[in-house]
Amino acid sequence: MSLPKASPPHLRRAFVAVHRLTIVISETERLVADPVPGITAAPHDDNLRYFDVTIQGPDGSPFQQGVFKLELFLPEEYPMAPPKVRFLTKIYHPNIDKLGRICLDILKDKWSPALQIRTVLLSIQALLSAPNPDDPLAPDVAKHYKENEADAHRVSREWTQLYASK
Amino acid sequence: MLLNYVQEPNSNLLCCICRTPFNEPVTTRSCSHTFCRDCITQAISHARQCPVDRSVLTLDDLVPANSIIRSLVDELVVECIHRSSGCTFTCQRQLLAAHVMDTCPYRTTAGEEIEDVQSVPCSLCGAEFALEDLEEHTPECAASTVNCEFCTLELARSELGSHTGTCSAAIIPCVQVSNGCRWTGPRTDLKSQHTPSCPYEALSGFFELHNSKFARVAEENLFLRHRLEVLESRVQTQQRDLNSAKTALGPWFRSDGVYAHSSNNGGLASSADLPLDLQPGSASTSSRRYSQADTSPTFEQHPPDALAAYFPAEADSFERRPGWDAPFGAGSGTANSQNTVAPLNLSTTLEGSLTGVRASVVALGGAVDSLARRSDIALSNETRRLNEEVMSLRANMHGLRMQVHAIMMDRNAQVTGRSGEGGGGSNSVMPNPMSPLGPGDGAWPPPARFFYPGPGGKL
Ligand SMILES: [Zn+2]
Ligand SMILES: [Zn+2]
Ligand SMILES: [Zn+2]
Ligand SMILES: [Zn+2]
Ligand SMILES: [Zn+2]
Ligand SMILES: [Zn+2]
Repeated sequence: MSLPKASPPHLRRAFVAVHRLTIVISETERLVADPVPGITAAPHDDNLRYFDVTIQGPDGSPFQQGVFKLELFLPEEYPMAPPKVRFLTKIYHPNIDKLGRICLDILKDKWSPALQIRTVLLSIQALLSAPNPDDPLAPDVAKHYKENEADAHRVSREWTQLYASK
Repeated sequence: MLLNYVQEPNSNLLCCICRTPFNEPVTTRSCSHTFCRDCITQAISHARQCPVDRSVLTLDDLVPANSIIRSLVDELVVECIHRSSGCTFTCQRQLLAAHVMDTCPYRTTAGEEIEDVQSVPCSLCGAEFALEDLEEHTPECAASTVNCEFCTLELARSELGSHTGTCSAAIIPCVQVSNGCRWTGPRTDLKSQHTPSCPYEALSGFFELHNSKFARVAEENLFLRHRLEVLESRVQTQQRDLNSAKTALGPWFRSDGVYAHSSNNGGLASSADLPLDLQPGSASTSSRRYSQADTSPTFEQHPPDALAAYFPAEADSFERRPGWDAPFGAGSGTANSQNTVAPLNLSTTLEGSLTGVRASVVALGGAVDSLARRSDIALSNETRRLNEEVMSLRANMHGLRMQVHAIMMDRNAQVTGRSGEGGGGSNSVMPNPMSPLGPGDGAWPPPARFFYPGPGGKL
């Protein structure tokens, strides 16, 4: 269904808004129907654009055995604008700062409307497996990772034990 | 609005932005990617790049998609949009519009269609709104995004409150701000940097003690204020009662609390004519009246309390006056038996009573006057009588002296005559008047020659 070209602007705006909401709804339905292993995402009852997310720490990483809570928010412009994602669980990671903000290019300038919630969460899970100290958001942690990776991993494991154990 | 496709569409026919089969498909000239017209138009308005390969893209680069693609998506079989209402009609997508507009039994009239469109869900929270209400709702929608003013994190408006309470970058005051600490800073710095050096934190124990004391005092103050209010209202009530009592008492109200009791005989009225016998006219009695102990005192004949009770001090002074004991003794005794003053007639007004009192005072003044005059007369009478008695005594004395003289003369004559007859010794011996006389001449002649005019004889 498309709107006739000659519709008044407010009807057009409403149509666009509805169209975007249908995108959110259909994507949520697919996410629930076909979940990603190790990742859960559940929308709030009162806010369809707000998701409670958990990501399991990937095996072989210092975050193994940890379950990390995140919040994901789809702004009104989604999918034209990227979702907002933030860690709620404390994590010792060079690309995640103490406020839980994530340094991930697809969440910023590398966002594309072709990307989905699913791909975003998979990218974050991959970031846990492969920290990138060269593009840090937490300089102290990045420095630690660069200078003594083993000790940094030890701290990451400790934090995972401390804050992200089930 | 979401169309339901009877068969799962080929994934090559899906727009990568909306993940549904293309709607008005357009293809990019530069990279030959296909999107819905609406989807790619909006995407370019956000970022001028291809959503798939991020190559630079403008609206001018879009051309209608290949006709094969268009017919493929147009021929996809879809369900009627009124399926939820009960229409089981299915058709090619390109024919659906005609069905919905013209033949669908669940179609709505043109007017209703517009109304239907006007009730739209909020694109943020999904709640349904009339179109005009949506404009108002959107800026305050709990799902709209806002930036945390401290950490600049973007989050839903509904989450902002809980986030600000925990945001570690939030500027917060010291926990001792109520005690005067002026420090403010990021939440993370409070515990780690400021608290160890906060001078108020060191005194927190004192502050706690002080605050609890203060709270207790404030509570007590409140309680006392409440009590004061109660007491004030009680005083006001009593003041009102007192005033009404004053009004009821009228002129008989006395502030010292001594209330005159109703007298049975209306003393004042009778006291006005009480001192009738004290009028000057009645003082014409002789002086003997006061010199006699059995003379009835004036006050005994009338109720003496009528006046004496009002002037107890004066009654006392009367009593103490020497010489007046006898006449006033009985009267003052009666007065003393009545110490309470209650003869005023309460049925009259105070003014009337005062007039009565004034009249009785005037009468009393007259009585005192007459008393004084009478005592003057009595005194002068007494003086005159005493004078007379002294005079008579003096006369008696003179008589006696004359008699003695005569006797002495007689004696002398006898003694001289006997010695002349006897011719006895030449020595003249004066007889001792005290010597016993001989029986013959020891008898005195009766006092015939000198008559004493006694008082009895005088009368
Ligand atoms: Zn492209
Ligand atoms: Zn599309
Ligand atoms: Zn139908
Ligand atoms: Zn809303
Ligand atoms: Zn914040
Ligand atoms: Zn302080």
